[in-house]
Parts: sequence; C-alpha cells; structure tokens
Amino acid sequence: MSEIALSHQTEVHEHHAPVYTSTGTPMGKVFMWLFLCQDALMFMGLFAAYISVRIGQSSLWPSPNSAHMPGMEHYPLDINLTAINTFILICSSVTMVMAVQAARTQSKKGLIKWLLLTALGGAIFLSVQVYEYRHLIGEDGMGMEKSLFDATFFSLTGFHGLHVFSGVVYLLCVVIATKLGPKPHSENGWVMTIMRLIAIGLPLYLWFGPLHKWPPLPHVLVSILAGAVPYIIIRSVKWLRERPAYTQGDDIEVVGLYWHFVDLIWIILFTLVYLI
Amino acid sequence: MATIVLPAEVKKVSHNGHAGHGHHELSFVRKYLFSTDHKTIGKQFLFFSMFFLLVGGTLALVVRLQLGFPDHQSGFFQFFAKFFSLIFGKTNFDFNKDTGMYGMLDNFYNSAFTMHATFMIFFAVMPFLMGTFANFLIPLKIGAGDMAFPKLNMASFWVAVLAGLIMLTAFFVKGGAASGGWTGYPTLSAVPDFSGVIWGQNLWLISLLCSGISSLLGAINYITTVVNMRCPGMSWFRLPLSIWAIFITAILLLLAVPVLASALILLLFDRTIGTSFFIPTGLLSAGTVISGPGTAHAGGGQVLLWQHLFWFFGHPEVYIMILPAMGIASDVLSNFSRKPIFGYKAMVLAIAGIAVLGFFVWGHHMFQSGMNPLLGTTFMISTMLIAVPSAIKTFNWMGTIWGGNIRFTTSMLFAIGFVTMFVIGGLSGIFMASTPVDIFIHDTYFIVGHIHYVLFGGSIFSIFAGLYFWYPKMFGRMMNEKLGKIHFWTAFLSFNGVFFPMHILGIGGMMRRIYDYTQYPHLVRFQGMNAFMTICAFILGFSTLVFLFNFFWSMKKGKIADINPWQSNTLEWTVAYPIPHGNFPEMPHVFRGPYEYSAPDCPAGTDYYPQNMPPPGWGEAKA
Repeated sequence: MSEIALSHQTEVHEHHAPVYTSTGTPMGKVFMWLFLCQDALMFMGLFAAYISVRIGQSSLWPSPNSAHMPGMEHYPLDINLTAINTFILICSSVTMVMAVQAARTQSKKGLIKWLLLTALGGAIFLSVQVYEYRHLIGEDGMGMEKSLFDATFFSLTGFHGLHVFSGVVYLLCVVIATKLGPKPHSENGWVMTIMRLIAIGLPLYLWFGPLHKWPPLPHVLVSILAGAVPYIIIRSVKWLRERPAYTQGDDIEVVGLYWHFVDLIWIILFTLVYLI
Repeated sequence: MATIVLPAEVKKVSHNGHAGHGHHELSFVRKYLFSTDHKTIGKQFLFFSMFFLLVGGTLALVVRLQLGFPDHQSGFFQFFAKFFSLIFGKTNFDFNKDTGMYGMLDNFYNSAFTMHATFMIFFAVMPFLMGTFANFLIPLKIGAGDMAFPKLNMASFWVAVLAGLIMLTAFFVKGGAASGGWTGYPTLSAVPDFSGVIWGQNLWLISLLCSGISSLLGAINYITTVVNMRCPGMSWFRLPLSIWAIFITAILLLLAVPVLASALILLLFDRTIGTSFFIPTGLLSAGTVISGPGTAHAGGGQVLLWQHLFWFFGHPEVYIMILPAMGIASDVLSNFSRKPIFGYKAMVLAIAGIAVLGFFVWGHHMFQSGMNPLLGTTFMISTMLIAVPSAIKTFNWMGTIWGGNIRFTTSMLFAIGFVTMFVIGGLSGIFMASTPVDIFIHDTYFIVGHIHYVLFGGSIFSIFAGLYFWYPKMFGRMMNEKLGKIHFWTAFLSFNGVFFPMHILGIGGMMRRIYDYTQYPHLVRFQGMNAFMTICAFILGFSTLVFLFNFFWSMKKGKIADINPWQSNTLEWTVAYPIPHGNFPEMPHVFRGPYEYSAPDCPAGTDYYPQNMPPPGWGEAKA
C-alpha cells in the first residue's frame, strides 16, 4: 500500500484517480516550490555573508577590476572558461524545457533524450568545475583557510555544485524510471541490476582501493557517499515507478523547477563571484 | 448541557471497525516507532518535548541555584547541589572531599544557562508547538486523512531525535557543552581558546543543523497540507485560528531557518577547517595575536555578520514560538467563553501582520552591538509597529471573554494566564524596543524577565492550555481537574515569583549570564531577592511534576472522555477515540466557521453548531 493511497480516503481503492486537493495543484509541485523557497533563503544567507565580508575587505579583494592595484595584478578566476560553463548550464535549461514539452506530448523517446541531454549538461558543468578547482588549488595555491576570498569562493560554488550534482542524480532517477515505465517494482530492468552492483561494488572498491592513503574521515565519508548515491537512485526509481500514471507529467515539471532554480542561482553567483 | 450526537457521528461510531485500515495490521515498530500516522508522530513529539522540557528545567534550576546562593554555603544549596551532582557529575559541582561541601564550576554554570536556553527553545517549545500540536491538529481540524507527506513527517521526527541526542552528547565530551550563550556569538563561539569548549560547540552547531532540517521538513509538510488538503467547504476563512497560526508559523520557519543553517555551516567551517568568516583580524589570546596574516587564522571576518544572520532567523523564531500559542489560546478562550472569537478576520490579519513585520525587526537585538544608530532607529520603529497587531489580538481576546458564559476549566485558566502574562511580557518589550531605554537595560535581567514572560508565561502556559484541552482526543481520557488547578495556581504564582523580580534586578543593574554578581558591591543587596526567586523556581519545577503526574496518571485512571467533552465545533471532535489511521470514515463537509458558539441558529437545546453539521434542509435541497 503506497503513501498516496493512505493519504486520502477516496484513494483507498482507486489508484489512478487524481488525489483530492483543495487547490488543484499537485502535491509534488507545492512541495518543490516550498523547497526552493527555503533553498533560496539558504543561498541568500550565503550571498549576504559574501557581500558583507567582501565589503569589509574591499581593499584586499581580488576582482577583474583590481589589476591596476599593487599586489592584486593576478586575478585567479578564469572568466572565459566559466562563461563557457555558464553557457552550457543555460543550454541544459533549454533542454529541460524541451523535456517538459516532450512529457506533455507523451513522447517517451523525446523525454528520455532531452532529460539525458540535460543531465549531460549538468555533468559537463561539474567536470569543468572540478577542473577549475584542481587548477586553483594546485597552481594558484587557493584554500579555504588561506583567505576569505578563497573561503567564500569555495563555499558558494561548492554549495551550488552540490545542488547541480543532486540535480544530475535526480535527473538520472527520472530517466531510469521513465525508461522502465510504471511497472510493478519486481520487474526490474538491467539498469537496476547494474545500479545494485555499483551500490555494493563501488564503496568496497574505493574503501580498499584508491582511497587507501586518504585521511580516515574523508576516506569513510567518500566511501559511504559512493554507496549511498546508487542506493538513493534505486530507492527513488522504485518510488517514481510506483507513482500513478497521471502524476508522471507533473513529476517532469517538478524536476524542471529544480533545474531552472539551480540555473538561476548560478547566474547570480557567476555575476557576484566572478564578474564584479 | 446535553451533548448532541449528530447522525453522522452515530454512523461513524458504528463503522469504527473498518473505518481505518484495519485490514492491514501494522507491526509494533511501524505502529509506535516508525509510524507515518500524524497522530502517532504528534504524540512522539509530545513525549520528546516533555523529556527536553524536564532537561531544560533541570538546567534552569541549576542556574537559579547558583544565582540564589552564590556563596555556596547554605543548606538549601548543599542539598540540591548534591542532588544535581548525581545527574551532572561531582566535578561540575566542584565537590570537596575533605569538607564534603559542594560548589559550582563557573564553566559549568555557563554551559548550564547556554544549554537551558537551547533545549527549551529548540527541543521543548518548538517541538511542542510545531511538532505536537501542528501534527496532531492540522489534519484533524481541516478534515484530512493524514499529512501531505507522511514519510517526510516521520523523517522530521527522527531527525529531531538525532539532533536531541547529539545535543545531549555535548555534556559528556571533553571540555563540556557549549557555553557561549544560546545565541552562539563569535568570537566566543568561533575560537576554542576563548571558551575552552571544543567539541561541545561543534556538536551544538551540528545538532542545530539537524534540528533545522527537522523543522524545515515539518514546515513544508504543514504548508502543503493546509494549502492542499482542506476538506470540501473548509475555505480559508473557516479555518480555526490555531491552524491559521500554525500555517503562518510554518511559513516563518520556511524562510527563517535556512538563514540560520547557512550561518551555522559557516561557523562550523570556522571551527573545523580554519576559515575566518566570523574571526576578525587582530584577536588577542593570552597576550598574543591569533588572527590576521601570519597567524593561525586568516582573519578579516566580521562578528556582526553572525549577529545579523542569527537574528534574521532569531527574531522570526520568537514569533515561531508565540504565534501557534496565540492560536491555541484563541481556540480555548472562544470555546470556554461559549462565544465566537471576537474579530476573526482581524485575528488572522494580525497573525499575518506580526509574521511579516517579524522579518524587519531583527536589528533590535543588536542596538548595542556597534551597529549604525540610524539603522537602530528604523529597527526601533518597525519593532514598535508590532505592538499594533499584538494589541489587536489582546483586545480581541478580551472581547471574546467579555460577557461570555465562562467555564473555568484548567485549560481556560491557562489560556487566561497566557493572555495576562503575554501582556506583561509585551509591555516590557516596548521598553527594550526604544533605543534610549535599551542602552540602560540591555544585557540585564530585565531582558531575562521579558523573554520568560513571553516564552514561559506565554508559550508554555498556552501549551499547557492546549494539552489539557486536547488530552481527551489524544488519550481518550480526561485529565484530573483538581490536580490541574493545583498545577495552574502553583505554576502561576511561583512563575510570577521567579520572573517578576527580574525586572527590578535588571533596572538595578544586575547583568545577565553572570556567575557571581556579589563581586559587584551594588548587587550584593539583591542576594535576598535572588534567593526568593530561586525558591519560587523550585516550586515552579515542583508544579511541573504535578502536571506530569496528572498526565501519566490520567492516561490509565482518568475519566473516560466523551466524543466531544468540551462541546466544541471543530472537526477533530467528530471522531471518537481511538481515531483510526485515515481519521475520517468519509471525507467531512464543512458548512460554517469554527466559532459558532451561542449563535441564534444553533440546534435547539445546545449552544454550539459543529462545523460539519448540515444546516436544516440541506439534504432535501440536494435531493
């Protein structure tokens, strides 16, 4: 018996009639809007902190316009690279819109294609960010404890990167669930079998393999995370496939809300942290 | 007063057997531990917050013990210090083996008042109002089967338990629990050298993050439920005021808690991975500079940044703790006055007004922080504006009682106690809102008195009113009225005995959070008054024990409750205890507002008109 069935009396025996709501807006959409409200406020807290410490240290803060000031000729952030990255993220928003459109026209093939392209956009964005981090830490010697410029940079972009990462995982869940279709969860495709293998194999491999020389805390955390992400995907796919068919178009719209929000935050972040 | 049994109710009682989901029996674990039923989660939150109310109360008595008898010589101090040392360990009470005398470590005193506030705010009052009452009342009062997201609801409770356990652990780690005050101001909280507390403060931060996640999950759930799951006919202006208050409070939580979360994360970074968000350049520790270029901390951070972020959360937080209490009091006052609430729409707008203004006043906690005085003036004006909706509410409560057919039940007494104590707390708030007065009284016991008048005399009294009121629906039995009245009068009198003198102490110049005020000559004369307050505090603690005894005794031995023992109008009183999973056998239909008491068209022989009772001729017209 699923949660939806218990949530209202009219639903006990009728799985495929819409759930009674007072406003007509699906529960999932209300949830996502509220979630995004709180997320926006969390980013607002971080932006406020950023602006505040930056104004406090304005004479020491490297920016594209500070090249003429002594000691700040070198601006560590690569605006061109990140501009391209921003463009990729914006493009992934476009593909997200196409995915919602495909869901509306009931085109399963189109939906999977556009969702995968969106996830790909997110993945490229993350890879470029990892490249950028390696460059900044390795060659420019930046680090959280070095200065507030570094600390705010890594906190803000890192927190946003975490959102993109969650978004890519979320998109993959929706892709797999769409691919497998709303069947009973006992009938799993080969994708789920692979996911199960990854959920068990990857943490074991990391634990005994490449992470062996890491300090204990990151060692444990990364290993757990490597197992947790595929596990979350398995659970979410199962949950998404149990959803009644009429909600599935709305579910795509809800992913879209999240993805556009992450995009929007990046545009503010890019302007604040990189450009001005 | 005859209780009318509605035709619908008869049907419900007779259908009780399969009204819920009796066809699938849940295991013990799913039914009582990891339950997704909002009523069980509400009760879980109830026991959770009662436990932490006791923990916080014990810490309050530790604080009062020190303040009442700072010389540690009296028999009263020795007796209770021995008792508390059994809980917190003899080292904290500076036990001297040779003389057999107890004392109190100053560090432990600091931890005690810090953790008292933390437990009371985040683990007692908030879960009482936004865990217990929100969970138990929302679906029942709006005619829904459960919350919108039952599993998130369950997660919300268990994350809160995790937070509570982490916070309790802090007492047992090296260096003790957090001791920088519940506001966690840097640099005291950011640099371990200053307080000697290392892991205690980190655990405090992690625990509050977990508690924040729990609150956010709850808030999202409550808002979605109220927006989307009201039964047919339950329009916005037919919602009981308790639901309005909880709904608006959930919005406050949704917008305030994330800002605290971001501040907590940044402070945790400062403490663990060496950033300097809140650590300014040039701090001195034992005569050496510890922040700035070439030292352990990069420096350049801002102490005021924390205060702004914290109070941007912290002031809405104050309303998070009072608005649901106001809603509960409105329901109780109207019911026991047998009169409609005075000015229903004005009450709703006042709640909304307080909530909106609550986001523009955080600076009044920082008048003396070195903030720009001009900014202080704007915060002063916006703070004063809050007096308007608060006064609307107070006068409406009085208008509700005025000329009513008042029934002095324990619940009603606590609700009246709430209104009177809230007025005192509100009026002392106006003193502090004006910057010139605040220069004199900030950081004194005047502040402590004010916060306890609104938080104990306000929120906790209203929580008690709500518990006595909804106990029959929660546990199927009535609480003992005689014990309830003993509880009320001892609590009410001793409460005023503890907290009223605080205003006098504050104006007399006694600073808050002080370990031994007798080191200042001008405060020595207050020792007697402090001793009196401490004795009152212990009586207050005793009154809570009376309540707890009544609570657990009534669960087994109380009088079996009728379906609607208070002759109330709202939907939760139309279903009999034990309410099955799914609440209503069929979706209720609402025809009128929740406060139709003594209305001219009430059914003959009664003075109330239940929300779901069809008006005469309704079925015929439909046919």
